[in-house]
Amino acid sequence: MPSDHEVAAGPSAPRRLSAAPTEGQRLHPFSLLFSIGQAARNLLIPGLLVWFAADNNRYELFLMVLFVPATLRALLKYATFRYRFAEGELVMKEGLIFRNERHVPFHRIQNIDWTQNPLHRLLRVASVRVETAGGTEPEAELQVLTVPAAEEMRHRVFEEKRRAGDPAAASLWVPDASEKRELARLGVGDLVLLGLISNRGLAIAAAGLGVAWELDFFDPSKWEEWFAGSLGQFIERVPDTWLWRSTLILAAILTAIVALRLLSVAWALLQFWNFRLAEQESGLRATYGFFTRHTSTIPRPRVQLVTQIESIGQRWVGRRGLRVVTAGGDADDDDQSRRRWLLPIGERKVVARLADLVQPETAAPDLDWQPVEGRAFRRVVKRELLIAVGVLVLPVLWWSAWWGTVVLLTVPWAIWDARARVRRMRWALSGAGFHFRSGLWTHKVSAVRFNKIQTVQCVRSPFDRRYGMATLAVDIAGLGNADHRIHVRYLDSELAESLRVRLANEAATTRFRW
Amino acid sequence: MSEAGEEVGPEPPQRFRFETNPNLLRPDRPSTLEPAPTSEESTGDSLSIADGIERRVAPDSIRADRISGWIALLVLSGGGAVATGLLVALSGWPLPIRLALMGVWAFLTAAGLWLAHGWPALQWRRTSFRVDAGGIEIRKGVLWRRVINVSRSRIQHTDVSQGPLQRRFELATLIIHTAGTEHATVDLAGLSHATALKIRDHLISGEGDDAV
Repeated sequence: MPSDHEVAAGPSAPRRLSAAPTEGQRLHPFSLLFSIGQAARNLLIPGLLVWFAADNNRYELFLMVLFVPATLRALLKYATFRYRFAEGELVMKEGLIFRNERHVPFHRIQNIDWTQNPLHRLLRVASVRVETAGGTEPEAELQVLTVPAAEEMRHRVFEEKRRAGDPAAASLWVPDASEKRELARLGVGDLVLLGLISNRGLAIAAAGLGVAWELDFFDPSKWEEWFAGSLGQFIERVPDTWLWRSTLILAAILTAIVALRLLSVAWALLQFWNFRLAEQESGLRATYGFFTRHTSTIPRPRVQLVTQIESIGQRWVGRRGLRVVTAGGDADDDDQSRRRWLLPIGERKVVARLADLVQPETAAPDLDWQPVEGRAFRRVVKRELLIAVGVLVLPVLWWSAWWGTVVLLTVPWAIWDARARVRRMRWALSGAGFHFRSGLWTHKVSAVRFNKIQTVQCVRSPFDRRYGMATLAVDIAGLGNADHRIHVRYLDSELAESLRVRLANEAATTRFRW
Repeated sequence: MSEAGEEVGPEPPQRFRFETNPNLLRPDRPSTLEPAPTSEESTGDSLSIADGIERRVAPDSIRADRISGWIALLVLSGGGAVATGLLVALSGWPLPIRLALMGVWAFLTAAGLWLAHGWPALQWRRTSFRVDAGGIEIRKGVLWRRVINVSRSRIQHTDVSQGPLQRRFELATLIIHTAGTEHATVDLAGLSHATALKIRDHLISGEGDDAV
């Protein structure tokens, strides 16, 4: 509730201790359910695995003991947590003995994200995250609020921001009703395609193997049992000829491939079920997910980098994906990493259009893509041949002349690889941004606005200096491990220097806004 | 944005030239590859540091770095001497191996001496900075030569830190924090403390805009 309660904390004092009696709104009582449920999930699943594997009941007791503090904490948080909307800021208090009061000025709030899994939806509540620009974790996590309360929170915060006249903030959020148009939607067909060309199944299978390992599934005696059973008998019955053997091996490989693809498809379907991307007044909103329904809002001003990605699989089917880097949140957190997909798969034209829509400043119909130095090919091929010949061909040749001749094939491959790698790497300047593309197997094309450039760096390694080259590195906020780094290598060193000066000047003359 | 998948045609690679917007290119600095810093770091008290002049860091930083190098060498080489001495005296290995061991120690110590003495000077020669109204440009690195530009408007906060040796020589390290990822902190060591403070004051005297 808006109150005339005095609040003096400025942006530099987000935390303040206070002994004042708490007032304001509570979390929903179901919070207890979800906090305890979360603790149960965190404790129970690994606990159960250990329990099954260990074959004794000591862990049951152990778990119960661990549960007590989690439950107490949940109770304490529910009993003491209050939030209220004060003038210009969101105030949250919690704690009984150690009291913590956090003031989050509205102008620092970047995004209010909420998540609803099926249980949330059943109980009509939502878990709300208040995100600010800096830091790796959300400023506040309100678990859980009723849907109207969550809506109110979103409404209040962004209305306040708008009223404060924050030019960037004014466009950050618009209520659900003001959704302007749908930009993309993924049907079952798209998701199946996405699953077929992604390698996610491999990761799932690896995780499954890990669990199986934990459960002593790989006990040799079990294997023997299994082999002596139906499979062993089947293998024994197969005629012992070269043809039959290879057929069997081929069939096994095919089965594995099909199984992995099916896993990938299942992953894609569950993860991106009913994917919708809609345009709002000045941002985008993506909703997707089968079990847990995710809603992420991407305010356009917050986008730091837009990358179009084409993996080999996507190229085969003429598709590509679109990722954005936004500031705030831990970039390497799995959840955050998933959120960065603006569109996991789409037709090339659609994705290219979408990229322009997300970052209209860098939309340029015909970019003048510049190659890196022509001499780079010689440099890269020298390095790759040195590795291929020195590490592979020579030792193998020494060991066996026949195999040595076979691995000699890596030489033309190295030449092709070097050529393709150097030719893929290109850069371009448009009116308001820098563009970079690279990647031999996975093609990536990125665009960054000048006002999102943090630092510009030019590096010359000893090799670079020998060849008169340099690497230009442009740093931006919020990059994760999987994101496209802007490292333009093999530039002529004079050119790299003038590019650096140009980009640094562009950065200096523009204002950075998260 | 143009097509990502388009094939690159066989056009001859052209040298890129900035013809569109030449005034952004600062024609007064045609080649910036190996600038010759014109001045030592001091500016006098009245002049602003933000004059766009390439400056070296304080020469005293060579002495400070040498001393810290010698201290490190003393520890490492002393430890090595004890270990070598013990092995030579007690191991009962054949004489050539023992001699070789001593040789290795002597060689490493000599190399360390050369590094401890020579490296700080090399580093000093390769370190320079330039501050102007837009921000700071830092050059450093002997083998990997870097030039880093940070604009004032991108600086989140700055630190000026002084270790014990630096305090002795009145030196300081300027540490600049940006919101970036890979180079989120940029540091410049070897400045005199006064200069570091001057640069800091210039860099963070912004418009006081907090609207992130």
